[in-house]
Amino acid sequence: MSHQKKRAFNFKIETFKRYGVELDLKYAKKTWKLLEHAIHEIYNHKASGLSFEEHYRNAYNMVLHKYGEKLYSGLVATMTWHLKEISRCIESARKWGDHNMALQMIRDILMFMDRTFVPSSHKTPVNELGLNLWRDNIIHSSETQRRLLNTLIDCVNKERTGEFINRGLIRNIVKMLMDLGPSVYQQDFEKPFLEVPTNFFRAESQHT
Amino acid sequence: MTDSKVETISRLAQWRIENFGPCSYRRSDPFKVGIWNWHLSIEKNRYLYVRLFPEPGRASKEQPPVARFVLRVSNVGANRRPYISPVHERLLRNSEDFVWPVDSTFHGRFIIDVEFLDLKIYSLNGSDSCSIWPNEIALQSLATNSTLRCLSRMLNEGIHADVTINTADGTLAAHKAVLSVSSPVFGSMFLHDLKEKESSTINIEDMSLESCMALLSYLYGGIKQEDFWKHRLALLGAANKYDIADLKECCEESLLEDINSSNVLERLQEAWLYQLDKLKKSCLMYLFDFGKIYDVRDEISTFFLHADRELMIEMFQEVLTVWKPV
Repeated sequence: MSHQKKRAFNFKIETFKRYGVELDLKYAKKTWKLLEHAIHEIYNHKASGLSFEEHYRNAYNMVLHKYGEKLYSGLVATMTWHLKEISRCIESARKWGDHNMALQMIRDILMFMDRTFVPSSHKTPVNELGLNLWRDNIIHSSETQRRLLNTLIDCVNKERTGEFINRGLIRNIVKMLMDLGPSVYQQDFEKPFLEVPTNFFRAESQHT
Repeated sequence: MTDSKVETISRLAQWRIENFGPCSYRRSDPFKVGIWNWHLSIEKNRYLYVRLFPEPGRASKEQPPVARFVLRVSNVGANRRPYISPVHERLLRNSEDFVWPVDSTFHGRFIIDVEFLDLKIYSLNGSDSCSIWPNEIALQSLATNSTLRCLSRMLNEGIHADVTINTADGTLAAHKAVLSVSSPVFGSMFLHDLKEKESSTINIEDMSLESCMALLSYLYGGIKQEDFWKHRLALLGAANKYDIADLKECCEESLLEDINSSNVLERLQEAWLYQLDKLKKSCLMYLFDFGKIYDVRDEISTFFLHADRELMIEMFQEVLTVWKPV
């Protein structure tokens, strides 16, 4: 924002406060563009140059001046876009840590929205929203779900027959599934998982 | 001449009597232990009667003492065993409340010791009596005052300040730790690897130097009433932005105190913006229940032209509640 524009913007806020002028849609759009850019930067690991205060203030002003809905729907769209991008890459589940870190930053920058707009309009809080979007776009994308399940079962079978496996990877995956909530862990993995050993031991018993 | 002065140290009071002489009654000078002035008296009759009682007055009347104590009477020099009372615990209001008869006669110099084991303030309304030892209230207020002094110095002299705040018109120095414990927003600001953590600088463009200083004085516990009063609208905005609930409440209370015709519309607008229900309710009552809307006839048209639709609806509903058609 140039200096002059900034002054015009501040003046607008002053006018708003004094006479209750609604901040115009143009302002809201411009502010959202800044926040959208910040979310992209966060996902692209370029966040260190971002100012927390500036983006928090932008989000705060949007919510304060009744643009909470625009901010929230923008967030959903932007985060979904990023998760769809991630789901295209081969080892998307490995990006879980990145997503988690980005989610925490975004949640804190949008803290004011979480505190006021989210409860008053019965929306899902940012953190939970981020987990749900990850579940729907990554874990439940048919490609990933199949691959993830096969990898896990494969690893466990390998270990049963005495082969070396990457336990760290297994631990991270299981932790992610637990973090996503008991329903994700149980329905998506525990059930098919418990069926496999049955087959394994049946085969073993027929060998002898 | 018998000295009537009682020496005290800590919880022990000691009355040295050089010579009882021919008199049969003697009362000590008052001596202070705890929050009361006390007297000892001795009376020679068949026994030696020792009494302990608080000096009559406000303290003993409004906060009568319950004392747990031991008395001891001993002859100086003589190789005699001292007389030691059992441990007494009683409410002492006047000289009749406690008397200890000692079955002996004392000649020459002798000493009376009172050792207070505990002193409580008797509760006149039936709740638990509380001990004056250790003196927690005094300790607490001492510690609080000293902490506030330290915090004020940290702010005013910038002692080990580790963050620079650039306001719209000047720069201030503060401490990340103080900001972080006062506001979850500042807490997150220094938590993530974003610009502020790296540069230790915050650009608060939407506050003036003076109002930001008032905010810091509040957070560091040393804000002055006149500064609060002068900057309360800016403080309200900051409290809302940085989620400092007690400050926000305090600003709302303050804004409730001086609603008048010239500021009621502005106050209503603030109440609407920051969702201050009490203030909003009061402004609406001021306008409609108390009929002051007729005092702001000119301004109200401008206000209606620009006010938020939802706020207008609320105002209209308030009118309907108040309005009683004949």
